Amino acid sequence: MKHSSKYLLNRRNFLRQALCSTAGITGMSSVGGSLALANAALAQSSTRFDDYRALVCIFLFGGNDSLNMLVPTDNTEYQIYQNVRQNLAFAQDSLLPINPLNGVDYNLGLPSAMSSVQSLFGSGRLSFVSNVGPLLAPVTKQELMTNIGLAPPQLFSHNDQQDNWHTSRPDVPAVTGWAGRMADLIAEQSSSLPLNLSINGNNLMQTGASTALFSLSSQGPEQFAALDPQQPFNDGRNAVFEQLLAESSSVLERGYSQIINRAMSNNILVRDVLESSVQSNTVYPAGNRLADQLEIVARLISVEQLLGQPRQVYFVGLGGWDTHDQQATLHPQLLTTLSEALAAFQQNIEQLGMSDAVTTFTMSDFGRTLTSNGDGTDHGWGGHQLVMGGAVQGGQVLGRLPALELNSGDDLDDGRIIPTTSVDQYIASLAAWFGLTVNELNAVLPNLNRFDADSLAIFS
Amino acid sequence: MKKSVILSLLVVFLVSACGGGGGDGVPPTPPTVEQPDPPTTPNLDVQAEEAARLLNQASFGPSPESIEDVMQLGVEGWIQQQLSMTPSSHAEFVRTARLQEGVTGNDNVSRERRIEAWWEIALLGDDQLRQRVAFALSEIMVVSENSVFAEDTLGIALYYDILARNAFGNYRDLLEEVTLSPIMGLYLSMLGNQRPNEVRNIRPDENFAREAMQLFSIGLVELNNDGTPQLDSNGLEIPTYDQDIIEGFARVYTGWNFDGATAQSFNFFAFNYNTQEPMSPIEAFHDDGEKTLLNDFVVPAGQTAEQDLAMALDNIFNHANVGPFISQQLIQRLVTSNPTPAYVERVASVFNDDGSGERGNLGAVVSAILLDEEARSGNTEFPDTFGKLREPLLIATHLWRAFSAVSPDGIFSLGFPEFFFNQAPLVAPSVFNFFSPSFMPQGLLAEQGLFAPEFQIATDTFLARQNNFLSFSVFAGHNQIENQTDDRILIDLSDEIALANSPDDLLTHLNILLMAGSLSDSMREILLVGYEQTAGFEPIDRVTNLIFLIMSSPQYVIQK
Repeated sequence: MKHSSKYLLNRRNFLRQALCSTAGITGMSSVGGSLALANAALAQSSTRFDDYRALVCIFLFGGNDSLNMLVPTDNTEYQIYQNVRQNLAFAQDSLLPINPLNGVDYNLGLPSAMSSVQSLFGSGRLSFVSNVGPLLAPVTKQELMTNIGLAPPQLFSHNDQQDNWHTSRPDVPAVTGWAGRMADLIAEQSSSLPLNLSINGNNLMQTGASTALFSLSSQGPEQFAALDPQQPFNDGRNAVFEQLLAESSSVLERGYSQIINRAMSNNILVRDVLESSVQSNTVYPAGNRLADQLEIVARLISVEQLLGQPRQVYFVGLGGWDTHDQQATLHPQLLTTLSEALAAFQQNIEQLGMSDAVTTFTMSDFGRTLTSNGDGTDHGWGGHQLVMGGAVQGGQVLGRLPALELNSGDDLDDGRIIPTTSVDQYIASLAAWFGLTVNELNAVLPNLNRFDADSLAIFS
Repeated sequence: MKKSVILSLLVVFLVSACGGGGGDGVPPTPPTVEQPDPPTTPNLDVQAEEAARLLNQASFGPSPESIEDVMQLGVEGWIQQQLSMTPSSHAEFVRTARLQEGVTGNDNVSRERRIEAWWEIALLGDDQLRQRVAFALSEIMVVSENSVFAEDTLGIALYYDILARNAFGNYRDLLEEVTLSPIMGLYLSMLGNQRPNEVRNIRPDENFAREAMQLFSIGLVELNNDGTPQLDSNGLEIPTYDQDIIEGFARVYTGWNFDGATAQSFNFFAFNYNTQEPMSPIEAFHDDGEKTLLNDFVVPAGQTAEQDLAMALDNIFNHANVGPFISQQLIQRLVTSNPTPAYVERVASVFNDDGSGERGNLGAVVSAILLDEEARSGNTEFPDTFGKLREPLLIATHLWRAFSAVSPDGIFSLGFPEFFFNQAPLVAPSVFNFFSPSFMPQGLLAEQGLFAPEFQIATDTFLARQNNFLSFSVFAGHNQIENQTDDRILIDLSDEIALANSPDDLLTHLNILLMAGSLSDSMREILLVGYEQTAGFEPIDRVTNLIFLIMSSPQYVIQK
């Protein structure tokens, strides 16, 4: 879908104005590089996207026990849940009820740790997608009992199932991720800065065949000191260093030259652009590792026009979800961290007036077993995810909620739940909103044609 | 005559003490009546370069002294000597720190003190090879202080000592000590794991059962002895285990708790807490039913926790994957990211049988890795793909060993190395380590299908921080600067400054010490021209600039 040329003109005007202000703030010496780059972006900017959109992925490393995140509230269903979950069940009267606008199989509440998410859901800013997981194709328990080969290989292994979420290719060992493949198709070539930005280091999801990711910390991009090209006293040293990079001979050496060249130019570009950003007055929760990352994401989004990519994917992460033990203590803490970080980020994005342009979503290795080991839970398969933003049709619980009885048709074994929505379907919905054509969706998600691609109405 | 300071010293030593040739394994003896032939410099250059290459792979970086040692003893002789060295103890260091600070009981000295032990042993320990292998093992059999025992510095140091103590022992013993370490028990939640309770839907915890097989021993798929995956008749990889086998092992690993815990106190974590001794079994919590493990091996019902464990660890140990799986990863950590299958097979065969019929002799495995023709000449045989990105921690240890760093207050205080390096000893983000053995960096290396695990932590942020650490430590971290605070770590560049006006000699010296002889003619020329341009500067500034440029270069950071 094309957007109006009026918006495009506005975008160009904003770029010019912003560049002028950047020059004013940072002084001529440091702004030279980013001015040239941004001007190049301006000159060559394609007309494919004349608006801005961002996807923000929150990866919950370790496997969120999301079957303890959406909890039944009605007596009958709660009893089933309580019988299965035993000492890990949240008390019925502690649950925060939510009232999905769409029909669901049983009424639901959230753990008391998630009051912020309860508000986001109630105000239509957030929805859940239930029982998502990697699948080779739609599959039933009966089929799996006769042939476990119909499930993705190495199910229940952390890194394999993380990779499945990152690549959406559980059928093959993949070296690119779905966001990387999107970037290969749609990234603006005129900017040296990738479309994929990570506040959580390297990851497969954002790795393309021809495009890389750029990573920075919550404190912003890091600058080279003794190799800073903007310090005249480094000139002689830099000249020698550049010759050494160019002299690299082996593939490993050239691979290293490639990543250090990228880091040197992009760290400067992002620093210069961030200098023109305005400090947000959103109060982020203190000591919240996820909020720290989302805060810099919001800052980067606030100056997206200078970063040269009208489409961006951000990656942030929160570890600690592998709750094999001490789950009753640790999991609520993690849910609070997630919930409060989401609320602050959404507030910040709304203050920027960019709510419709930014969609935030979660991913996690797997859901966890309904059964416990007394103190925690083990690796499962399907799990629930959250999607948040102004473009999201909020207040829904999409997909199909699983039955919570052990040995039900949804239970592979010990309460490892067979997904009823595939990772492909989940991503397809996000990527279609992002602006990919049907052909592009099928290129990015080669297995999508095995599923109903339009089943999730996440967006209005 | 071009020769380095190291070589000058060595020539004197060889001529006066040893006789010409600097024979392998010959201990220093008084001069004989024979008049020795003076050794020729080119041979010594080559010997020193080869010594430095070995020390990149087998130590925390070549120092002038260790290069001399290897030249004296020869590669084999040096390895033999290293294999017999007594392990330095990280726990002893932490215990001493506890005494100094008056810390007792369940109180702890800070994390910085534990990391200080690591620096002290890496920089000054004589048991370089053992500690280097222990460091490699710490990235395979991973525990991380990012856990409930974060503050327990002595417990964590004791875990590191297990790796060092068993680095040249038998893998089966290593696996058992790792399994019974209370720190591992806490990290992968085998500690407190109990038999099923069907009424309460409680099943044994599968955490250790799964990760011990996936990461510490056999991996996910059946391997050939050369490390390549076996394929079934449909061309598909063959899983080593399924969920039922995981559950079998999970049931084996029940009943273990802190030493001293009882059936009555089983669930009183703080009361029982004891990371000084291996875990011990409490039979009331052990699942003594029959279990099926790898290769259809059945553990009979009615055994004790210890009997079950012995059978289960034997079952893993005797799986044919362990040799290639562990060999390949140790090769990657020490020598090269992309070993040929033939190299893996040669080492795995030694794992399978060390020649005397022993399986799992890690000392023999380490020797085989280092003495293999691919380790010793892969740099010339496969110049395009041989080698690995140096781990940032190992660049720091190399810098400080190469230039004889000391700290005026005697404390190596770099207590949070992960701020610069994206890694620190036993601080990985998860049991999957800082980086994966199969990581392929986007771009050139992925296009060529090459693994480069250490690239995973070389992000845009950490490439800068790592380089800034280097600039700080080289330009501002030497003893020519007056009024340095006592807690700094300071390198001594007096040997290099002495050569400041002989750029060719200086580069020959640094070529050995830093580049293990891999300095190409074109790189030498680039550095020489650049060095000429600093002619107006003080010698110390010229020398530090040169060292910084070499150690920042792709040619250096790729260890070959």
